Amino acid sequence: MAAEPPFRATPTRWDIALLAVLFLMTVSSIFAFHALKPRGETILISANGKTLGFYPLDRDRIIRAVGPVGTTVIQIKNGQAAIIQAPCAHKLCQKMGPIPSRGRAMICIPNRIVVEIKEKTGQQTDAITR
Amino acid sequence: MLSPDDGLALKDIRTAAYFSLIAVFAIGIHVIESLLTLPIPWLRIGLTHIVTMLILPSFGMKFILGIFLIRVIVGSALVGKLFSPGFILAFGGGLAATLAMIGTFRITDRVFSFWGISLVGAWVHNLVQVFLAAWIIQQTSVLLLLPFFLGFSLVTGSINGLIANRLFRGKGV
Repeated sequence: MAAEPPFRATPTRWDIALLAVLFLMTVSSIFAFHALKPRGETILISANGKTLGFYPLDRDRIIRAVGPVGTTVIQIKNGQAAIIQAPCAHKLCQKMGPIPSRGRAMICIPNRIVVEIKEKTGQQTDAITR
Repeated sequence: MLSPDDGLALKDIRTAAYFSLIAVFAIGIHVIESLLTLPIPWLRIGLTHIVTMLILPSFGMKFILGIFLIRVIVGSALVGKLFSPGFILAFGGGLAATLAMIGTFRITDRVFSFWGISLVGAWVHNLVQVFLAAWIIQQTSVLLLLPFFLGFSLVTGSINGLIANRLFRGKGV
C-alpha cells in the first residue's frame, strides 16, 4: 500500500464526467424501457351487448360498429385504439382519445358500443403464472 | 477469545478489532437509516455505503465484503426484515454495489474521488434492485420504474460521496 499515491478524496473532473455519463444513461433508460409498456394485443368490440369481434392492435385499420344511434368509427393505429367518430351528442368516447393499457375500455353509452383491450385470445394468463 | 498466546499475529488481532468496530458502526447506521422516514417509503439514501467507501483505501476485498455481509444480515435482523422480500433487494443491490465500488476503486486507480465511486455504487445498487424486484414479482412492467430509481441514485450517490469525501479529509459532515 505504501507505493501507491495517497487517496485524496477531493472531487475530480472525472467525478463530474461520470455524473454526466450516468445521467445520460439514466435518461436513455427511459426510452429503452418505453417499449416494455404493457399493451394489450387485441381489442374486443361489442355493440348492444353482442360481440362484434376481436381485432389485433398491431395492424392499422378502421372498424365501423353500428349501434342503436348510428355508426361508431374505431381506428387502430400505432398499436392503439381510439374512437374517431361517434354519432352521439356528447362524444365523450371520442374525446377520451386512444386507450393505451391493458384492462382499459372505451364505452359509448348512447350507442351501446364497448371497446375493451384484451390479451391475445386463448392466452389469458395473469401476472403470477406467467 | 483472541490473544497473542494463540499463535495469532498481532496484525490479525488488530484486523479483528477493526472488523468488529467497523461492523458495529455499519450495523448502527443501517438500523438508524431504516428508522428514517423519507417521502417515498422504498427510497433509501444508502448511508451504510459511506462506511464501505471509507474503508476502501485501507482494507482488502474480503474484509469489505465481510463488513457488508454482517451489516446487511445483522442490521436487517435487528429491524425485523431478515429474509423479507425487501431483504432480498437490499442484499442483492448492496452486494452488487459493494463489488462495483471495490472494482471501481481498484481499476480506476485514484481517477475518481469518493463522489464518483459512490455514484457507481448507487447506480448499480438501484439497477440490480429494480431487476431483482421485476424478477421476484415476475412483472417486466416494474422495469418502467428504472429511470426514476436511477435518477434518484444520482442524487443519493452524490450525497453519500460528498459526505465520504469530507469525512475522509477529516472535516466532519
